[in-house]
Amino acid sequence: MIDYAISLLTLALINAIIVIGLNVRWGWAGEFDLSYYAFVAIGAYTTAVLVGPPSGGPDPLVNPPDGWILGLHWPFIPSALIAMLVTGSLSAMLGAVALRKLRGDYFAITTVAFTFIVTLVFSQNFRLFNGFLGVFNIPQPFYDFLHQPDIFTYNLVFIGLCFVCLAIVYVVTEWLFKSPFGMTLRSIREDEQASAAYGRDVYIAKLKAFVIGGMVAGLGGSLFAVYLSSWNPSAWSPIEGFLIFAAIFLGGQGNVRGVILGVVIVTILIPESTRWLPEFQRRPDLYPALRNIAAGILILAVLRWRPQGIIPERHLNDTRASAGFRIPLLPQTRTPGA
Amino acid sequence: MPDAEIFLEVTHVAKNFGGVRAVVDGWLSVPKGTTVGLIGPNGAGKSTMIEMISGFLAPDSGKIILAGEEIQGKPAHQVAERGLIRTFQTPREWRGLTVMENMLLAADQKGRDAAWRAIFARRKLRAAEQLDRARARELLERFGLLALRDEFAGSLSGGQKRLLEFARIAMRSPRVVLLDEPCAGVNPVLQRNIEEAIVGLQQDGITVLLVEHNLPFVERACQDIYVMAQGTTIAEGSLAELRKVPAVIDAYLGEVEAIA
Repeated sequence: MIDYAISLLTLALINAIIVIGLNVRWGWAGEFDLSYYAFVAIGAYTTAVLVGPPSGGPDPLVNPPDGWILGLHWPFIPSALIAMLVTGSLSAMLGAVALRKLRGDYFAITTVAFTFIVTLVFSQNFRLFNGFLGVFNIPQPFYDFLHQPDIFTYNLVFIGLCFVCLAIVYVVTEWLFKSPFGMTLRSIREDEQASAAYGRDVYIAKLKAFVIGGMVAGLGGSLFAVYLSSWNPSAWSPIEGFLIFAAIFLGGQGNVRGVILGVVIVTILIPESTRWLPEFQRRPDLYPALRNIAAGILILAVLRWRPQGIIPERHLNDTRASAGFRIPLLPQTRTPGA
Repeated sequence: MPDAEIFLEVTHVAKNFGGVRAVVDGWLSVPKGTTVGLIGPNGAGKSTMIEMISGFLAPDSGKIILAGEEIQGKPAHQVAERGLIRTFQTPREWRGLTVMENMLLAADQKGRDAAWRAIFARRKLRAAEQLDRARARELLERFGLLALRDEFAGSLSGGQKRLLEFARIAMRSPRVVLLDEPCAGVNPVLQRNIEEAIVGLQQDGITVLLVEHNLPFVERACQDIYVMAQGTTIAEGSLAELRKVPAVIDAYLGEVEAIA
């Protein structure tokens, strides 16, 4: 039971890191980015092939077959940093193409195309990513370093690692939020022509947000890969990407705490909510369907009655000047059509 | 104003949209510290001129010189950094942000919005923000918006949005402002407020280029007026002088003043 709770909490922490990256890209800069989960996958793959076991071992269930050129058996931290570098630079490349002139739907379509390309490369490239089989037996970070502790101790170590990563990402994004850079991004979301008229380079600011979000996705993906200890093209699907969007809607677009709450609800609480119900014989698909229905109803309800999300975006308020940043006590409403 | 230093000079700019010749030969010059009007019938190319001067459109040909530097074809944000701020025909506030945030965003950033500073120069940023806040409060007080400073800018009334626009310009204190029909669809009381705001800009030494249809207002505010018709600048002078120019009467004043 406690093992199970720890495992769930770990997943929540990783998902929280992942959702924060999308919040920078979509919640602040405002571009509807459907490629985000592809960057999570790229991060996961990069770490997986760097820390993974080399090919050609005696046991095909432990080591991938010959012909796989990676599997470098690196330690986790440099691998995760490389993964962030890879997702950051790929974000810069995609952003340089897609963010310069494309807006709205056209931008979204371009990011979908990118996602399909990435999926194809991962599932067809054998020498780098082991094709459709994917990477398995990914070693756990610090497991050997800690002289192979028992599972329970190790799970505590891993959850600590995830917590430290989330804390760093959270603090940095909060600083960004309060800074002139974060405010510039949110102004671009509201009206990018007005931002340009006041001297903001809209393209560069969006590109920066895209790269920062991409790096966070890379970190989240790295942790996800080692948490699952295997990664292949079927481990991620567009539907997961939409769940993260749903989490942002639900929690409160733009608010870091809000989106963390949203992701916990969408990816943990709703899936777990039906676990304690009695099982129906010959109806194994009932509860999964119920979960999806529950998630859908919840999102509709929030959009109807609380469109700003459970915890709305905060503002650099002035009436409590010394406190500086506070959650509004009364929900501030945007005028219709905002 | 023959002696004053020319701050903004536009010579022979042209702009086509496909087959539509929006501006054929636009020219004007704005001496430093003055308010210059740009009038003309709808479709004369006034707004296209504003778009080209402010960098939102690149002219097909011609030169735009701001403070001795050619700026034609430069992107809008670079023009803004050189001290030229423009407004739009409808107020363009950042509607999902608060009035105070709108003011803070309008302040000259001087590179403070670089992403790395958010992490490595937090103390300096906070100090700068406190100064900006104090100044924003003063200006909002002046424009009667202080009580609304933590409301969403999008929830203000139309008139308050116009005033916020001027408060943002004052916050920025640019070298030159292009006002694109600031009195369009505005009631007489608010019109007086806006006129006061423009006088306030003049007193702050800000150079103004004003596009407007309300002629009495233009006459009071502007030292010099240019008339555009069918994409071409056809005359320059005070309104009294322009009333004597047959081409101007044919193109614009005849119609407007007959109605008035």
